[in-house]
Amino acid sequence: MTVIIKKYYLLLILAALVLLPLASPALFSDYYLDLFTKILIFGIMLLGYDILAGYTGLVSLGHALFFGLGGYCAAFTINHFSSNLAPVLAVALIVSTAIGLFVGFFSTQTKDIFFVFLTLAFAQFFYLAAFNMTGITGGDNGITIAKATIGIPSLWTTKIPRPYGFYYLALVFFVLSFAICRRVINSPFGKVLVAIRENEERVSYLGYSIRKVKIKSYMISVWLATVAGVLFAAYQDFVSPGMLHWALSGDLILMSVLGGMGTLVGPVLGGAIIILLGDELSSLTENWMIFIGGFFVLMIIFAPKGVLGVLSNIRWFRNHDA
Amino acid sequence: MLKVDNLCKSFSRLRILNDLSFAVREGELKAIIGPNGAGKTTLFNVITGRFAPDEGAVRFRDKDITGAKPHVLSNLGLARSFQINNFFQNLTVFENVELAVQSRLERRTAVWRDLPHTDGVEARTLEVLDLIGLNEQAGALACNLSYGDQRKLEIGLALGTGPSLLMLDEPTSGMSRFESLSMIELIQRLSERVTIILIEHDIEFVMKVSDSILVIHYGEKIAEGPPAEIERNEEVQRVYLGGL
Amino acid sequence: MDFSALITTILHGLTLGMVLMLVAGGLTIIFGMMEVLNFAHGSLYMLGAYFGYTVAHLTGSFWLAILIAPLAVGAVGFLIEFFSLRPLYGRPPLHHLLLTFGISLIVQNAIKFIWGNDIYSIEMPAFLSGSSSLLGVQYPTYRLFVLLFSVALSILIWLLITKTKWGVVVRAGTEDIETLEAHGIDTRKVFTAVFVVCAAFAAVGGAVVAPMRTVYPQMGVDIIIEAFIVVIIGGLGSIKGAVVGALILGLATQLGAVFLTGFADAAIYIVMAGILLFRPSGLVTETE
Repeated sequence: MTVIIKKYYLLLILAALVLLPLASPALFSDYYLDLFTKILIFGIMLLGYDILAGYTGLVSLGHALFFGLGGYCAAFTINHFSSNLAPVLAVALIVSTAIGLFVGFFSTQTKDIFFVFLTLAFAQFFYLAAFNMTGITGGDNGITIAKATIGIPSLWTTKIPRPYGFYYLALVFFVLSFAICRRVINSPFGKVLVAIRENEERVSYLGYSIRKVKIKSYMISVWLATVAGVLFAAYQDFVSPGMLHWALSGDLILMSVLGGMGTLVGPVLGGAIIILLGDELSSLTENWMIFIGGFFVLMIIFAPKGVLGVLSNIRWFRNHDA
Repeated sequence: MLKVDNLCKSFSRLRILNDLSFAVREGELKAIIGPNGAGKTTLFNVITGRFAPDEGAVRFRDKDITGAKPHVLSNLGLARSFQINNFFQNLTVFENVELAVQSRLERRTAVWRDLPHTDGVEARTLEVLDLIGLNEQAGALACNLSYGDQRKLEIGLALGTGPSLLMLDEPTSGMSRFESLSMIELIQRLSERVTIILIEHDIEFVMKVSDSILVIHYGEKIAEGPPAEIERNEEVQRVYLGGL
Repeated sequence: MDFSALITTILHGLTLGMVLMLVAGGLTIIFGMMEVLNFAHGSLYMLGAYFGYTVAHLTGSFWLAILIAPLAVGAVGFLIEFFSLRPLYGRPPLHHLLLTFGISLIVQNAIKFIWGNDIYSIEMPAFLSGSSSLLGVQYPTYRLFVLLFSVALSILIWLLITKTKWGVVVRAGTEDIETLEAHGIDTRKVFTAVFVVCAAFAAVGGAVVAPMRTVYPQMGVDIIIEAFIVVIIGGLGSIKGAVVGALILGLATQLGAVFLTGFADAAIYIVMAGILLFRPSGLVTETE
């Protein structure tokens, strides 16, 4: 059922991600570096989303809420308090924990499609707030953010250099998130998540408190989305209500399903495909989503386990000792 | 050990359980019989927290558990199996039972550690698999088991939680004569270790293994007592055993 | 707020609610029968508006527009059902939601490709322009027409469902599909027919609303979210629930616009969150 990727392949991919940018500017231009930075930042969010949607089976259509929340927290903290990434992350995580617990507590009362739309309702509420409270958020015009810094205050700080600094920063956060998620999935907690996805009622008859487990799973995905939001806002020097819009949550589902849900690697792969493909296609036509839509439809019909599911059927990729 | 007092439960206007009282002693095997639609499964559902009763009380080891949630009951040592298979179809047999065994750990939903092989989960899981006779199928997906083995796994999940009271809802339902033989043998073995409440259709089997029998009809108790007494009871013969 | 303004607001709400009903009704019937959550239902509504616009633009006839649009969209609905939904029956409802989400992306971008990003409008027939006097308030005649037209259509659907043999099949289907199969009815044909008819009704909604709400590439997404909210607060698969939900949502939107100035769009989400918190499965649920 689960697709297992050999550690060997993962290390190979990691080595490539670390070394490629250094290899040759011709091979890996600033342009692609920018795309890969975005892929990594989205990847962080997609990893968390996979724990919630892929492993626990709770599909949220409101996850942009925490991406945007991270972004707006970053904007306010950087512009009014400190540009250092550490306190920025701390503030964002504290705020998103409070809101995440609130939304998570109520949303996990419901299941299936009701969960999908209750999370949407909460997220749209924040989107409309950001859109309409122009005095604080700048409304549709968004907020321009000063350059973020890293380092230890009064000892050594520096503006995060571009493009390499941000790329490697995103890579470090991504690898950390991946390690954390893998650990979570292999923990006793992770086993219970899958069990909830498979048969929630029986899990409660085995003595587990479903609600608590669901909220925990929700919070993990909230935190990772927040981190991604902070990084994204800092990278773009800009936040707008678009970061909170449900269309972004829809994209998350699209990417996750396309890559293969419940595999951690799959959704990230799906994200990479859509971001790269979208970039290629958008030079052809403004309405490139028509191709993504078509591709997506074909995948759902013929390969609902996603690209990773297809790859794992090819012998070369399979885990031989499994 | 378990005491049920004046339990009532209605759906819409239909009264399924009516003023039902009985008690289960530690160590006994209590069978519940009654024609289809007598309210046996509803009784289980009310005791195990799937539905709250309209009236009445359930006590387990002198603790009021009326309307308590399934996970609370499980942690008190009350486990049940289902009439219709209700396990994790896409997990292996081992993983199924492991989840039940894991639920007894102090840190059963710990996020930050590997699944503990040292805590005896693996050994305990294998022990349960051995007991239900599925150790050879440990690696198979639950959905690929034969029906008879699936029924055993259904019980294995309940057993994995190490219950002091085991409630079995028609463990032999849908089984062939041959398959149910090994199930009967399994239940007899289990009854030596743990208190059991058993819903069962097979009267012959019930008469043979149970210490006490409760007969319900249209949600009401019509008789309760040891098998020999139930066999002689005229009302039971009239409504239920008449055909025998 | 004075009385006549309140009347106007309520009429606005009812009109909106009835239009929503045309989309949400189809959504809930399709779910009730086939367990398909059709995210593309808003796209069908939008296609109805665009086809309507093109027909009206070419022929100059409003009536021809609202006649041809549903026929054309019915055909599109047939293609969608036959080629993409059919292979997926029996899979978890999430698959259908995802599939139709993909289809809605295709339709939306195809529309942008064909018609561009411009905003269009269909010209209303002359005798429906202007305003009429009702309950002491001056109310736009066309909105009144939309209200009555949608009510008439809804009654037509209701009659179809309750009085015809075809409707009995549909109602039986929303309750228990196995029984239908047991009676030797080819459920595949029934599914296709239901989907096509529901698509056509959504298209009529899109075309008839076009003169007052304009035609733009986001309209499908806007309405589908609203329609889903209707179906969810009403209770999935329940036709009664869809009516109740549509009216609640229509009124909430319009009253929100009056009382929550600057935050009007949030009204529907507040209503939905409120209802789901107290009734996690919607207002109308079938008793077991």
